[in-house]
Amino acid sequence: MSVSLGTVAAQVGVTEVGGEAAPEAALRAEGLVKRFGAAVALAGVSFEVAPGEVFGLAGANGAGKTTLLKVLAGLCRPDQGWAEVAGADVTTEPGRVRQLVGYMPDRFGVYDSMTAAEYLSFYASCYRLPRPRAQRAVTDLLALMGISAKRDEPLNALSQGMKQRLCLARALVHDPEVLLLDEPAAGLDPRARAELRELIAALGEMGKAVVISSQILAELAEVSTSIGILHEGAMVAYGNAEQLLAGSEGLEELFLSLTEPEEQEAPIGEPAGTGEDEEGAATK
Amino acid sequence: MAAPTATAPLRDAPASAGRARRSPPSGGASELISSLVWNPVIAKELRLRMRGWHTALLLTGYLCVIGGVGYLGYSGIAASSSDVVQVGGTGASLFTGLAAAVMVSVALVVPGLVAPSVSGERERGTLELLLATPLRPAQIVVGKLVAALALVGLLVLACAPLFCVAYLLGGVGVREALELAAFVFVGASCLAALAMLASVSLRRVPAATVVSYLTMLVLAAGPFAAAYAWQAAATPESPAVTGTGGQGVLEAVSPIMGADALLNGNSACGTGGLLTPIVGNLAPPVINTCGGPGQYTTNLGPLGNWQTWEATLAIDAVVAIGALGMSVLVLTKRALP
Repeated sequence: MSVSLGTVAAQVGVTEVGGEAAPEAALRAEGLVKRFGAAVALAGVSFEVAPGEVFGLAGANGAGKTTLLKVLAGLCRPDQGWAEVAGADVTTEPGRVRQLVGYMPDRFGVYDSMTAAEYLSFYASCYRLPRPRAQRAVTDLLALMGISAKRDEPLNALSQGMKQRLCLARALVHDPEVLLLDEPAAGLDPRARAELRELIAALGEMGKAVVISSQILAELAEVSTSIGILHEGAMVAYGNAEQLLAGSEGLEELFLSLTEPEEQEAPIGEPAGTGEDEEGAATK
Repeated sequence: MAAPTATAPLRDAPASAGRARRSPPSGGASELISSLVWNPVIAKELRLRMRGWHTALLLTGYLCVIGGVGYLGYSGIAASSSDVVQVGGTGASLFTGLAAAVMVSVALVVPGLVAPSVSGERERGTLELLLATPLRPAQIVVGKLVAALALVGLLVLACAPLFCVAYLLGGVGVREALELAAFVFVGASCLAALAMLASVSLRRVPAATVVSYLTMLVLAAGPFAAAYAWQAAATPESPAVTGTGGQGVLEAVSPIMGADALLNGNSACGTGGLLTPIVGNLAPPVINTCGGPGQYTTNLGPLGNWQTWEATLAIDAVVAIGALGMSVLVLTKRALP
């Protein structure tokens, strides 16, 4: 990716969001609950993201980050609560939501025998982009991601990092108002991660609402303007990044303090509890 | 470190909070038509299928088989006929042999083509990306089905020159060719829709493929065996009459019986069949007795008497539509759990 990503992003047909018609919040969620059998993936999650805001979502494995992003992308129906993206309800208007959202999952595949340009063109056609606009978007996004040289290469010849960039380009191909990025930096080298941060910041400056989940908390704090911490399906902290991190040494420390496992009733080393004694006595 | 003690206050909930859920607009027939008119999945599938070496290999192998059958058939006819006039009268037999070879080949190819279509996307990790676009599950299912059937069409068209030899020898006409094409296309659509149902239901390609082939075997052999057993169990007191009642339906459900009726239901038996029986009936002779009352016809109750192959065609079409609808429902449920 080139250094002047912000400038390039402005040139690739990624339009700025805003103006009088723009809604107050690009993304709102209220009381989202999602269960998978007995497991509770989301336990009443509420938050909102304004246009131009980069919302960093932190959480341990299994905290519910991916489920939350899937609900917001219209790929998973919440059991309770509601969410809307740019005014479209994710439950009742999933088709419209998908038109407004650019979603990049944490694990994804590509069609190995397609070329990079064909891959993006295919997704552009899925979003019903007119052919001239689609062609322009493909060319510009490949340039933005720094893989123009691989335009006509089959995707099985691309490295994992390049595929990662291509998938991000795919999420941007229809110029969405909201970007949902699930671990977008996974598999990228340090330079590519730095460029990705720059790109995300540039997209935020252009008025896009970006929700990004990551396990790399230092980088998440660096790129986010607001932060939410998910723990066991609940949003245990949420707010402006500067305010939230004020007084703490960083997002990692805040995260660790908020998600600390509950203390055990019978700490290691203490004598066994009365119940166990009684049980032992009973067995005697 | 002073960690925040409480989550930052949420902003006011929008006015739409707590509103009743609206059903997403659904199209039914219009959605099906729209998925055919605008469907990028068809172009993508065709492009990927034709790009690899698999399709070229499949086409080559298929043409070798059909060509071999044609060559052996023609050689046999030429060896047993002393003059051109006799050869000319036996074009129908060549047509029958080629048609049977095409039917068997297509039946063997279709489940293998369709079963990996959606389960393969799931395995590869591309299904979620597709579902994240505005494409509806119906468009994904129909797109993949149409692309697979287009390849079947190519297979059938590719051996058209061989059928032309039969046409030149005489004994068959355009009507027979069109009826064969309709029978093969609808039968292939039925198998493809059933394989699609397995593909959307099962997560792994091998499982979907095995289930698709097993379904094909059950569909082909099950009703055929049941009709045979029905006939074998008949007694003079309760005779089984082919082409009527449950036995008639079983005969019509079986594609083997349908194909036999199409290729051998013939004028020699005086019941409006298509071709002169050269290769003999595929069905058990006890079922199809030449000149019998239900010869190659099936009574479908209020729908009246149909030629057996036509009844097979109609049943295949109904099964195909049902399996297609089920596939869309299953994928929709998977798309929005």
